[in-house]
Amino acid sequence: MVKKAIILTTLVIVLHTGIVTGYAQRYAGIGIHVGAQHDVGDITTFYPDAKTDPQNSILFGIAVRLSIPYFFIRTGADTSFTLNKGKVLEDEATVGVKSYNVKYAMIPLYAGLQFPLLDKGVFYLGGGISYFYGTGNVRLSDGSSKDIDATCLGTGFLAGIQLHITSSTSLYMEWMYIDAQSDPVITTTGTLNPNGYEDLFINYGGHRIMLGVMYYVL
Amino acid sequence: MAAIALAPIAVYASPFNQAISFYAGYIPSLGDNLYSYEQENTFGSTNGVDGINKSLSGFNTSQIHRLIGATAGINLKIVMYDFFALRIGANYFKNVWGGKGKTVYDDGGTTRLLECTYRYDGFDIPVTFGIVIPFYKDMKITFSCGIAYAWGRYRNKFESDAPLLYRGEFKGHDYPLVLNVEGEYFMDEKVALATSLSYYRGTTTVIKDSKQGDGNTDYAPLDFTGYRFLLGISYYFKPI
Repeated sequence: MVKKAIILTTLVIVLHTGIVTGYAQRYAGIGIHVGAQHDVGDITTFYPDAKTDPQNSILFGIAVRLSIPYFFIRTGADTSFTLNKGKVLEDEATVGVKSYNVKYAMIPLYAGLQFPLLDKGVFYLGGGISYFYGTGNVRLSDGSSKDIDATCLGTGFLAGIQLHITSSTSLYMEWMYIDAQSDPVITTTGTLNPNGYEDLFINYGGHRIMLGVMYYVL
Repeated sequence: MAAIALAPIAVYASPFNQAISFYAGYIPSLGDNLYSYEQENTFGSTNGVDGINKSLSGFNTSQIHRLIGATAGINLKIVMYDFFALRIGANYFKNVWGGKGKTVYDDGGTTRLLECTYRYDGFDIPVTFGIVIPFYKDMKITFSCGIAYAWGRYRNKFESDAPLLYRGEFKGHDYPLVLNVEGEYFMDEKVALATSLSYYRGTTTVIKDSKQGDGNTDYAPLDFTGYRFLLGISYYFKPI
């Protein structure tokens, strides 16, 4: 396994140094990536003292990147798949939530500056917004289960780096931070909510790391 | 004679360069969750603006979002031996979006509509030191860390037809940790487009409400923790 990884890495470096002979402006690319997010749905923003086993999700998405000298625009679409559900470990009766499974589709729109790294790649940093459509479910402290159906808009930033492999393809890695919370969509059953208000919002915020390959059509 | 005397100065150029930058950008979640004691005691929110949002059939509520702040500032940078930098800045920030809406609360067994308003502004003076990575004459990336003097003012208002009116104003300062990554892309030997991502971490102790006349005294910390994304332009006093 290690040997294969070393051979693959060497191959990438050889291809990279052999094929990429000069930085040429790349204007439009489309990429696919896989990523991950820790603490999806972060229930501690709803009840700060909650002790939780946080939800982890993997992400699959496509990226569309437009660039001109100095500037870039990045959009695309991502969808999340749950690795493990989030659980409230203590004070379930107070919080009103036993476990939760938040899934979402995200459409990001970010723009900013990009910096060529010699002839080998590009570093970029931008800000923008993300639109979320969330599904999934929440198991409440009384044993019932409620479906999530919540949309929201979030703000954040994107930092990324691309390594040019050939004249038209690049490896990319991105770090995205988004702050996004829906309005309250679920009535919890804990002692915090004796009046039966809709009080549980869905927090889509947090950090995401993505790794992918981009093909430049222009 | 004079030319001969000045020759060494020309040969050994100063290892210092200075730059001035003007930035503007935004701050997601300005003031974090904007917790205050009265929100927990009177309105049942243990987590400020996050928990104040509730809804009930028959009441016309609207979501109260966390604040998004706008920030603008100036930054002076001393680059030493091409690879080290000392940055001193001055920034003003203010909420520009969010922090206003309607929710419901339990007033002794009666559900009432509550109108909420949150505002936050202030300034900070960050001082950071770090490493510069130059890439030929095209660009520089700077990683730095340090602290800031940050002063903030957080104001809130809660109004219902109970009748009830709570106003709070909290002013204070702290010295948050600052981490910064900055990229500069040179358009010529002195002028660069610049972008910056900063992370501040720091919260004041609990501050007493300075708003008098509404019959109650509230308490809240000022939270400077959060990210700041900035775009700007830099001018170097000497060619890079």
